[in-house]
Amino acid sequence: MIESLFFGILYFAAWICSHALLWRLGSSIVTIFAFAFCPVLLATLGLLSAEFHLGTDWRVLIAGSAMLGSLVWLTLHPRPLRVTDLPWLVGGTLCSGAIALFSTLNDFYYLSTDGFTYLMLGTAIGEHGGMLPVVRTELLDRGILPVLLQAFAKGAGQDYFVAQGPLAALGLTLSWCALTSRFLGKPRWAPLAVGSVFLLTTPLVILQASTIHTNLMTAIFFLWYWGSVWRFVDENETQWLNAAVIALLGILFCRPEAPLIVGLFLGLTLALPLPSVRPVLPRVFAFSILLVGWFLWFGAFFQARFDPILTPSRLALSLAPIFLLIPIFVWRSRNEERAGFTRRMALLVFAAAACLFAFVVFKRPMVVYSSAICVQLNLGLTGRWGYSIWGLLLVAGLTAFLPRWKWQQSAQLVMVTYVLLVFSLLLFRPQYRPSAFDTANRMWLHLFPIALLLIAVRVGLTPKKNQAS
Amino acid sequence: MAQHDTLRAVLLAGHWSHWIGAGAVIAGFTLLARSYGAVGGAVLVTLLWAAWLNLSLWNTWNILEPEIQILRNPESSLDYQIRRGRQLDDPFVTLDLDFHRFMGTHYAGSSIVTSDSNVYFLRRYLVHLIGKFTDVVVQPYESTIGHKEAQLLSNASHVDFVNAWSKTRIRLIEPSRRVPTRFFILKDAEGFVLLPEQWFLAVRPEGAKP
Repeated sequence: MIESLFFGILYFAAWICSHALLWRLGSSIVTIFAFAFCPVLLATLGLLSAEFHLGTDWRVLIAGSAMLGSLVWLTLHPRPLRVTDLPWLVGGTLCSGAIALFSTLNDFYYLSTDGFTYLMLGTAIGEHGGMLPVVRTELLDRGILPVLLQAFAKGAGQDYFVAQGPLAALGLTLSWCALTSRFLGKPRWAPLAVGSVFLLTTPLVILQASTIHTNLMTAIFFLWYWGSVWRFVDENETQWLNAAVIALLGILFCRPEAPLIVGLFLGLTLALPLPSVRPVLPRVFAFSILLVGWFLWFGAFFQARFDPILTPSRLALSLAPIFLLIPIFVWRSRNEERAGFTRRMALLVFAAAACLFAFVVFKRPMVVYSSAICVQLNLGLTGRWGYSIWGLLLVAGLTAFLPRWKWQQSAQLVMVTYVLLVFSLLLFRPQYRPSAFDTANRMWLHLFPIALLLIAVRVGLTPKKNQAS
Repeated sequence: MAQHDTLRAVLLAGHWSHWIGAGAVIAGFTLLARSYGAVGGAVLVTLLWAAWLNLSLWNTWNILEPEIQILRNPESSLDYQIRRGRQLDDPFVTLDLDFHRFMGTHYAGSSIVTSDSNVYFLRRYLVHLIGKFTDVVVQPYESTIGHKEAQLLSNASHVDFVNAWSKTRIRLIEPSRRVPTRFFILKDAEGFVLLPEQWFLAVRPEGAKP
C-alpha cells in the first residue's frame, strides 16, 4: 500500500513539473511525459537527500516533491491549471498508484546480479542516510536511479520497491503511443494497437519489467529525446526542447556511458535542419556544465577498485566529444542558412562512430569477434527477445515498399551509430556474453521503441485506398 | 472417396487452433489491407504474428520460477538478514558455496558459455567479499568461448575447480540440502556485499570446523 502511495505522490509532483515545462504541448503529452519525469524527479530528490544526509524516509520525498513541484511551477509561470486539466492529473495519478498496488500484490521480481548490486548499494545509502565513498565509486559504473529508489524503499520500511519495472513498461508503451500518434497527426488506431501489443509481448520487455534495471527507463528517455527533437523541427515549438533536456538528464541518471550517448545525440541533433539553434544553445550549454559537474563530483571520490570501467582518464575521453560539439553549436547558431551543413554533420558523426569502432576492432579483435557471436546468439531465444527482433527485421524488409517518413534517415542514423557505439564500449569493458542480462542485449532495448516508431509511422502514412485515388 | 480422405487428412493435420489462427491472419490482413494497403497490412499482421509467437514462449521465460524470486515474508526480509549479517563481525569467514545451486538456479540449463558468465559473477562477488586477499586467483574475463575457466568447469571435476580457487579460501562442496532464498549482507573492508543464502551451505568463522 505504501508503495502505491509513494508512486502516486511522485507522479503527482512529476505531473506538476511536466505541466510547467510542457503545457503548450497539450494535456495528453504532459500526462504521459510525467511517467518519464517521475524517475528524474526521484533521482534529483534522492540525490539531494543522500548528499545532504536528509535521510531516505519517504516523507522526505513527499515534502521534497511538493516543494520542487511548486518551485518549478511558480518559477516558470505557465498557463494556470484549468478544470479540464484535472481529469488528466487525477487519472495519471490513480493509474500510477494502481499499477504500483498491482505490482506489490503480485510480486514477480526476478533476481539478477545487477539487481543484487542495486539493492546492496540502496541498502547502504538507506542505512547510512548518505553515500559512502565505496558506494559513490560503485555508482560511476552504474545507473544511480534504481539505487536511490531502493534506498527510499529502505526508508519506507519496505524490502525493495517492485513497481519501478511495471511503471516503466507502462510509461514506455504510453510514450510510444503518444509520440507515434503525434507524428501520424491523424487517428490511425491499428498501428498504435499492434505496436503496443508487440512491445508488451516482447519477452525481454516483460523480463525488464520484473527486474531492478535501468533499461526500460533509458528506452523511454531515448524515445522522448528523439521524438521531442524531431517534433521541435516539425513544429518549431521550444517546449519540445524542454522534454529533450529532461530526457538527457534521465539518461545521465540511468547509464554510466551517458557522456558518450549525449555526445552522439548532440552530434546527430546538429545533423537535423533545426529551425533555430538559438533556443537549443543555452540548453546544451547548461546541460554540458551539469554533466561535467556531475562526473567531477562523483569522480572526486573515485577509488581504484578491482576492475573499474569508468576511470578518470576514460571519463575525460568520454566527455571530450561534447566539448568539441559546443563550438559547432555556437557556429551553427550564427550561420543559420549554411547549405549542406546537416549532410556534412551527419557524415562527420557517422565517420567518427565508424572510426572509433574500427579502432576498437584493431585494438581488441578477438573481444569484438566473440562479442558479435554472443550478440547474434542473444537476438533470439537466448537473449529473451523471442521472435521480436527477427519479426522486426522481416518487417523492415517489407517497409521498403511503404511511403518514406521525413525522419526516416535520421532514425536510421541514430540506430546505426548507436550500434557502433555499443560495440565501441568494448574498448573499456569485458566482452559481451550470451545472456538476457548481457549489457549489449539490454542496450538494444533502448533502440527498440524507436525502430517500432519508424515502422508504425510509415505504415500509418500509407494513404487509404479511396484517398489514394 | 479418396479425395474425401485426402481432404480429411489435410484438415486433421493441424490442430484446430491453427486453423482458427490461419483464418484470423487472413481476415486480419484483409481488414488491415483496406486501410493500410497490402504492404501495410502485411507488416501489421507480421508484427501480430510475432507477438503471438512471443506469447507462446511464456512457459520458457521462467521469470515466475519461485526459487529465484525475492520472497516477501518476515524471515526473508532484508532487515532480518542485515541483522544476521551484522552478527558476522569477523571478516575471516570460510564460505561453503553450494556451487550446484549457484549454477542451477541462477542459470537453468547452463552451458559452457553460461558457466563462464557464472564464474564471472562469482569472481566479482568473491573479490568484493574477500578483497583483502590480494592473491585471489582470477582469470581475466576476456573471452567467453573457449575460456580457460569455462573449460575447467565443463571438463574437470569439482575438485579441480576447488583447487583452482583454493587461494580464495572458498571451499565448494556438493549440494546436500535445499534452502529458501535469503540474503546475507556481509560487510568487509571494501563495503557491503549481498548474497542469497541459497548459495551457501554454511557460513562460519575462520578455523571453526564444519
